[in-house]
Amino acid sequence: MKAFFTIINNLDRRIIFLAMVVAVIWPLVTPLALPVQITPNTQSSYDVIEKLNPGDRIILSFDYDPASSPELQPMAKAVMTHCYRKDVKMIAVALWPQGPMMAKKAFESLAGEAEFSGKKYGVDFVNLGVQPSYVAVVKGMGDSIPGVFPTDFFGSKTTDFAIMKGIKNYRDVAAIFSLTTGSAGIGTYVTIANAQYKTTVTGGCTAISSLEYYPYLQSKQLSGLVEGLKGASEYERLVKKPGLATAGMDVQAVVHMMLIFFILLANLSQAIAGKQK
Amino acid sequence: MPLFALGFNFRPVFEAGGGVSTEGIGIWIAAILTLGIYSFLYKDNFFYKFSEYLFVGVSAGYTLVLTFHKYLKPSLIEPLQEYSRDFYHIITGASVPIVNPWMLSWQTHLVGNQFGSQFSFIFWFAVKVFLFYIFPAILGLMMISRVFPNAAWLSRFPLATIVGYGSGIMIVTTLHASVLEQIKASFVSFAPLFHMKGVDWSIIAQSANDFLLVLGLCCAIIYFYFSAEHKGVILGPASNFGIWVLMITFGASFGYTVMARISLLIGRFQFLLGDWMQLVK
Repeated sequence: MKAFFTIINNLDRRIIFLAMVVAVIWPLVTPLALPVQITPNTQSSYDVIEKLNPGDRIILSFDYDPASSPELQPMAKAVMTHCYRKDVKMIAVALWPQGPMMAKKAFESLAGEAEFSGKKYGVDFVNLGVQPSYVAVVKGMGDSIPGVFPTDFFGSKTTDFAIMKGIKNYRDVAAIFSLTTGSAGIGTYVTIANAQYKTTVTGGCTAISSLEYYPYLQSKQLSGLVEGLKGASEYERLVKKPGLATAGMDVQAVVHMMLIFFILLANLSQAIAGKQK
Repeated sequence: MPLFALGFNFRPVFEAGGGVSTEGIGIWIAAILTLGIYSFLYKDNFFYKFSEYLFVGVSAGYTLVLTFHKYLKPSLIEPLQEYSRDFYHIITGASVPIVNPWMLSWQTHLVGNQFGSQFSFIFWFAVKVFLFYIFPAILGLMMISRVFPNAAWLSRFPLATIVGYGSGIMIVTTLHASVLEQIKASFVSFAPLFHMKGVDWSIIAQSANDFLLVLGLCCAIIYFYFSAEHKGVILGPASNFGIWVLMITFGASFGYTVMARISLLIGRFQFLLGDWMQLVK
């Protein structure tokens, strides 16, 4: 037995990497369809959109770049699906330079689906692009959204779009949904749009930054939070449209089990076969 | 080639009609570079270094072009072009439509062509262009002075402007959102516990949760109180409990970090197996 644990102690780390690759590929190729439980934070975020009336407009803020897209892009698509089905109009803005491209990609991806073939750019969705200095942008939208974004991402005049008729500032939108990674995003909207203008703020973020927003959930300044890939898979379940996040959660489960197994095995081998030199 | 032989249906580079698919080429390049980056897991090699340097170079180039086209051009170059073109047309009296609304109002005002009005137009034009465009551009250029050690001190001015402006906007709102509201949220009421009829477990659970929140908050703050030694009946145990609260928080944070990193790995494999190999949908 000690010989086995000595081998484990001296195991080439590349074997663990290989095991990790197998643990990722296997559930992707043969989905396990493991159940996803809805957490209260995701449910609250979903409820914010669910309670809106057809024709209401929300700000959908794409505050991330391609590096965070595995977590946030499925989330964006699930939220957009929900809005389309509820006929809630989406005004996409971005606090990150690459955000508008992510919005464009999500919009184009859904536009190709038969269910949303009737949805039109400028009527149901508009991509206003990005402006520099995110604090000034969030603050400025409190005064005038078309003032901060005079043209959309493609250079057309913002006020010419049907979706922007009657939109002046935060008071004219029903809620803000920010998809956040890093400093610019949910925190900025809570600090300015919610604290100063009392606008309902909800959103989703990468798992790594979700703890940062828990105090805002506790104080109800943030109405729900979709957390990482797990949150995205929950939202996909809520809108009854399993996608990449749901598929990814099978992998998460297998990989986490494997990690726990390796941690236990490593500790056991350390205890039995002694410390590796 | 062996992979093709195994029956993998890789994304074609050529379209059905015979033309080249730019999307297909992009997917192949991304897939090869992804494998290049992951090749580091075996050992450091030329393929990894090439992929890494290419990523850094392309990211820097992309950011530069994006900054120019999305920030510098619409915020500085195009307005300056518009202002100077309109200024030239107004001064020369050319019959060309004035684009800028502010300049258009001046053109209307200058119909009488009085010398005094022309002077004030030129003065206010110079003030506006300098304050809104030239001065910020100079401040921006001063940031680059950090490259030259002798002139590096110049960068302090734009930095001071940014810090001052940022503080001005954020201090009040942050104080309200992140301090006052948080303090308010920590004042929880246990009144429902004393007014419940019979045994209501949801109220009991909520009250226990609230109690734990307040206790955890107080003990974590006590841990960071360094004016008295963490000993005795109150400070000692409270500080120890504060450490437990912090450790649980760090543990949760680490758990989320692991989940986030695995999500990135899943994203890459979904791309490799889906977009590139077309093995999964």
